[in-house]
Amino acid sequence: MSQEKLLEVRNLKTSFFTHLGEVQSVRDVSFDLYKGEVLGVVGESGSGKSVTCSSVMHLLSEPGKIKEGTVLFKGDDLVKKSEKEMRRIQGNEISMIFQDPMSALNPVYTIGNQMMEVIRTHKKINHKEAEKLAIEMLRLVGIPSPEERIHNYPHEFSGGMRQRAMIAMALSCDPELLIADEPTTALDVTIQAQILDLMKDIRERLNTSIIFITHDLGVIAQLCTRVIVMYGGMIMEEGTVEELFHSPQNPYTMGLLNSVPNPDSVTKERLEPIPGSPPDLLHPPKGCPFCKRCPYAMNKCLEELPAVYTLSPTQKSRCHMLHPEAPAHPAFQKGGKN
Amino acid sequence: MFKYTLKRICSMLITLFIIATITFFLMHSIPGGPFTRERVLPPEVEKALNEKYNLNAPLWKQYIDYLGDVAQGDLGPSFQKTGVRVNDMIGQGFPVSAKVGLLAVFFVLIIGIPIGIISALKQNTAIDYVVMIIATIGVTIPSFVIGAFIMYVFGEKLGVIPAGGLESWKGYIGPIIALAGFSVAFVTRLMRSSMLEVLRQDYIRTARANGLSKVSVIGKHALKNALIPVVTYVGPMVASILTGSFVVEKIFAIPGMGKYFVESVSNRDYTVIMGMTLFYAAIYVVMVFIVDISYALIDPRIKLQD
Repeated sequence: MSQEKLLEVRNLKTSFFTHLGEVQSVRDVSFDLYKGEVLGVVGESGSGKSVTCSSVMHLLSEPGKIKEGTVLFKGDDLVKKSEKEMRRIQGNEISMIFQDPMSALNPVYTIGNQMMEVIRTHKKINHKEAEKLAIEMLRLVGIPSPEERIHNYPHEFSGGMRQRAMIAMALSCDPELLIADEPTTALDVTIQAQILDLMKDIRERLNTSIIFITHDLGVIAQLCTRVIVMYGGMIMEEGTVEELFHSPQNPYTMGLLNSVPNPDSVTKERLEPIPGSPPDLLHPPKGCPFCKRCPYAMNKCLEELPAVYTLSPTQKSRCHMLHPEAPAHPAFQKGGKN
Repeated sequence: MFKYTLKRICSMLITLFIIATITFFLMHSIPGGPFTRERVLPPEVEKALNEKYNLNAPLWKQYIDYLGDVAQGDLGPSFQKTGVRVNDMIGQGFPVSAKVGLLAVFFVLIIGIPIGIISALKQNTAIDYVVMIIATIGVTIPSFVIGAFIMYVFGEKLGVIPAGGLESWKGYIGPIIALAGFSVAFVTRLMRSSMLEVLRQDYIRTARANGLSKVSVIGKHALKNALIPVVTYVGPMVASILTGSFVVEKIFAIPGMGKYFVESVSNRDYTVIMGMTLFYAAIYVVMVFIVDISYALIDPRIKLQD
């Protein structure tokens, strides 16, 4: 993994201006993505994962708006780009695949037609060459006899095949960044495993950087190099997979890890769910977004938003417990340097 | 496809047969007959007339004779207009109604569909509100009000359109507006709501995420999906506009088919009622058939069952 930054998101704030008021879906999110890495973004529904990526891609639906912040892609601020300028990047330099492959392909056009349209939008090549490339891409993602399947309509593909076709379409213009928004959530488990294998294979073969949004920690462990944990529109913790799985420094990350079953365990353990529900982003709390559900919450957590503490060159966490003067808690093992 | 068409033609014929049967017996179950008048005819004359038009025979015999004639393409003579055959009435009236009707259909499509799309794309803006207000008014105002209004203002007061008839191209303006008014408004509303629904779909997001041009996202990916409900409505609409509207034809003095239809009912002109009903039904079932074929052409998920 190189240290060259491909994407730099700084202080991104995205809100949806509904008739009830402003829903602050993303509140001050900053992160970097290096070339060739697979960055996992985890968090429960409504934590702002998808909205963050939609903001990067200019795909926010009405009435969503980026309020503040910059998104530097290879040094260029995407937030300032017009729709027309973005179109040269969308599907070409940054591609996206979505959760539900059943509805993400247009039912009235063939797979080939849709793939070739994307290819010919971004590459100056003729129909024949585009068809050849589309067939090649379908073969790459493991669709048998692609020369024939290219003439099929989406409803003639199974769910897993459709997601493969989506991936083929997303990769057809050699994007530098692939954003995968829960690409396995809507699939059944065996197909999920196949798609994950495919993603791993792609990562190794094409060296594309990937942002992988999921709420499945197992997927993160298998695929990603670094992880961002989001909650209430904020990044709660960030670190390498090893750091987050072995030395989580945020009560929310710990809670997420506790709610995953451990198949290696000999004794019968109860899964520990995190009690409560995520904060209302129409009226976001003044303090830490997680404090209402946090077993370590202090008065300070209600009042004041915790700062981001840098624990290692790669690990950062937003929690008052990491303050040098915070009371020690037997269950909270402080890691890092402070 | 060939097999499907053949099957559909058979079922269309059965539909027409059922319609003919129901109309025939309903019509005859109403008291009175074509020659019942306020001024009573001499019994000998009435008897002779009934004899001439085969009205003395038992009903089942009349029915079978009529079906036999229809099977040979003969819709019979008019009872009221001596010496005129129903085939000729349709032959004269339908081309006139169809000519005005086709123009009306053409305007419904080229106005309703684009305006519906624009309205959807500009949802909740001034343009959208104005279009929706006009369309709602258009749906609620009946054609005879529009027709009478146009005739009064543009024909009578301003004198820019002729008082009736189709001698100059200006004569077409009034009837087309009156015939198309409701459907333009309806298609606009339908297209708008269908487009809004489609624009929310995931595949539109995919198209946008792939950097496709606006023209392609709207004109290719959204439009084809959004047209499906519109096609459903347009089929039957074409049938009803083509066969003419009595009211509109009356207001603008157009020698079309609609006039005969209404006259025949009040005159109890059995063969004309039957002929007109069957003709209208035939156009209707053919349009429904065309709609079904268009579905299959638009949406590959719809398979025509052989």
